[in-house]
Formats: sequence, structure tokens, C-alpha cells
Amino acid sequence: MVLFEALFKNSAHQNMASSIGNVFSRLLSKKKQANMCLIGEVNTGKSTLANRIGMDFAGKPVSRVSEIPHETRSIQTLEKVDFQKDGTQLELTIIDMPGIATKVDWREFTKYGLNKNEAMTRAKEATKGIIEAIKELNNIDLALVVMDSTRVPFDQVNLTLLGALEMQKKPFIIVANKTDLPEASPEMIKETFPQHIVVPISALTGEGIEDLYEAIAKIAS
Amino acid sequence: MSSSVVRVDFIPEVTVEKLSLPNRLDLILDSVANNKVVVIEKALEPQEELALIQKTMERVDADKFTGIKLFSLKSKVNNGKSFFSKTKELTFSVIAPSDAVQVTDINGILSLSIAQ
Ligand SMILES: Nc1nc2c(ncn2[C@@H]2O[C@H](COP(=O)(O)OP(=O)(O)O)[C@@H](O)[C@H]2O)c(=O)[nH]1
Ligand SMILES: [Mg+2]
Repeated sequence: MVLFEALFKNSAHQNMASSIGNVFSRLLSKKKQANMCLIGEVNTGKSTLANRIGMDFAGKPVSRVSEIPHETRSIQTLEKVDFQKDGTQLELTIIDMPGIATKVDWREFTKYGLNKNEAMTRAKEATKGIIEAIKELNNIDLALVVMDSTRVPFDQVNLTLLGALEMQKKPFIIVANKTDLPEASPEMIKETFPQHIVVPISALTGEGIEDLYEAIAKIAS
Repeated sequence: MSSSVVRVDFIPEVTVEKLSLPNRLDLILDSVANNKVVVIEKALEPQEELALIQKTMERVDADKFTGIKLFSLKSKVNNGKSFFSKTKELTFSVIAPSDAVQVTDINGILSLSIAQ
């Protein structure tokens, strides 16, 4: 790098020199850049997990969290997250996606105290968010498929997402979230997807999170 | 559902094959929007399912159409015990109006429970 800048010093190509220098410093450092997205059904804890990863490696959250479904209705990203684990260094862009659903009914939201107008607006935005999320799948390098361990895992949305990632040969990790709840059964997720990497965690309490970081480091290196 | 009659349309592979993906998805969604259950003889690929979800979301409106229920069954059937026996893939997709139908797969048997 230093050598390179020296070579180009006093030349008319200083700008070029520094940009070439940048390219080289990026190539020389071991840090790989990767777009890592969090996807899955609605309310599985994607945003809670995105925030934990963001806080752990960049000191910043990524998204808002809510018990009301479809809180994340547009893609939320956090760039330049300096991920380090077991000697693996990554420059992550965390992409927190809206939850994927095959139906959106505004009436559901009124159960959470939203009035009709708010509920209908939320539903409209949610449908747009789902379309945006599906399109974004083409731009990712690595996916965390977040499932709620208290639900049955063979929901079609999960099967569709896993199938699409497999077809596109994109690496992914299944995150069996919410292990802090008594009714959680991450074993059931493991049994349903024996051919895939499944990491049980609680995004809320942080239980198992280091195992997830190990899995990310392993899959990315 | 207002009517007590539920129609289930079985769409054979030959019919589906002829159509482009957008036309196939329109055929499915037109039927489902009219409260029919659609069974397609060859399951949609994951990418096609994502395209179907996208199209569904474009169509969702406040009162008439809230979405679909999607279910794809993919099972490999090995007919014969010899080393050279052929593995036949049986696949189909069920697409249903979201609230009317429950689809379950118990030991490879697909069950449609239709609420009236
Ligand atoms: N008990 C428990 N609740 C969680 C966990 N992760 C998320 N939640 C809760 O689940 C709900 C949905 O979380 P959110 O992160 O918004 O889910 P998203 O829709 O997948 O982004 C919120 O009420 C969260 O507090 C977890 O690990 N354990
Ligand atoms: Mg979210």
C-alpha cells in the first residue's frame, strides 16, 4: 500500500493512485464484505436479533421491535458492521427484512388496538414490504432464516424460503429463536431440517448467541 | 364463506406446462380470488412460489382478498426394490383462499379440510 502510493506520488494520477490503493488495501485485508439478511415468517424475532448483532459489533440497533405483526414494513439496513469471531473478520451489511406472509388481513391489527385506518395503512405497507423483501433476496450473500421455536416449523413460508436459497446456492443458517420460552422446541426444528445448520438461540436474552456467531464465522470463511 | 359449495379445481400438468409463469400465476390467483381451491399437478418451484407470493401481495385489498394459503407436497416414491428401480417424484401444490381451507400432510397423505 505505502509502496503503491509512493510509486504514484507526484504523478498526474494521484486520484487514481489513491483509488487503486483503496482497492488493494481491501484485497490485502482479510475482511470480506457480505450482505447478511434476516428473513422468515412474521414475528419470529428477526428485528430483535438484528438489533443484538448490531449492538454487539457496531453499537447500534437496526430496527424497531413490536409484538404487533408486520412492524418491519420496509427493509432496514446497517452497514459497515465489523464482525469478528474466532479469527474471522467480516464487514457485514445487516439487512433486516419484513416478515414474509401469504396473507395480510388488516382486521388482525385491530386486535392490537389499532383503529381501522391505522390497520388498513399497516396492511397496505405490509404487502409492499413483502414484495420488497422477496426482491431483495437476489442481493444477499448470506441469510439467517429466523424461526420461532414455539411454532410448528413446517410452515410453507419456511419451506419456500429454504428451497429458494438452496436453488440459488446461497449459504444460510436456520436460527431457532425464542428458546427462553417454556413451550419452545428447537429440537423439532432440528428434526424437521436435519440436512441444514440449525442454531437455537434467544435473541431476547442472548442465550446461544455465541454459537450463532461461530456458525456465521464458519459459513463465511 | 357465504355459499356452502366449495369448488376444487385440479389443474393437470399438461395445462400448466403450456402457460408462461405470469399466466400460470394469474390462472391460480383468479380462481382463488373466486373462492376456489386450486390443486396443481406439478408443484411450483420455490422461485415460482415466491413469485406467487409477490403477485398475491399486489392483489391484496382491504375487503375482497386478503391472501392465499399455499402448500406444496413433494415426496419421492420409490416403486420397486431393485437397485435400478426408478424414483418417481410426486409433487403438487394446493393454493386456497386463506381462511376457508386447512391443508395438512400426515404421513404423505394430503388432507384438505374445508370450512363451510
Ligand atoms: N420470548 C422471546 N420473545 C422474543 C424473542 N425474540 C423476539 N421476541 C418477541 O417477539 C415479538 C416480535 O419480535 P420482532 O423482533 O419484532 O420480530 P420480527 O417480526 O421477526 O422482526 C416481540 O414482541 C419480541 O419482543 C426471544 O428470543 N424470546
Ligand atoms: Mg421485524
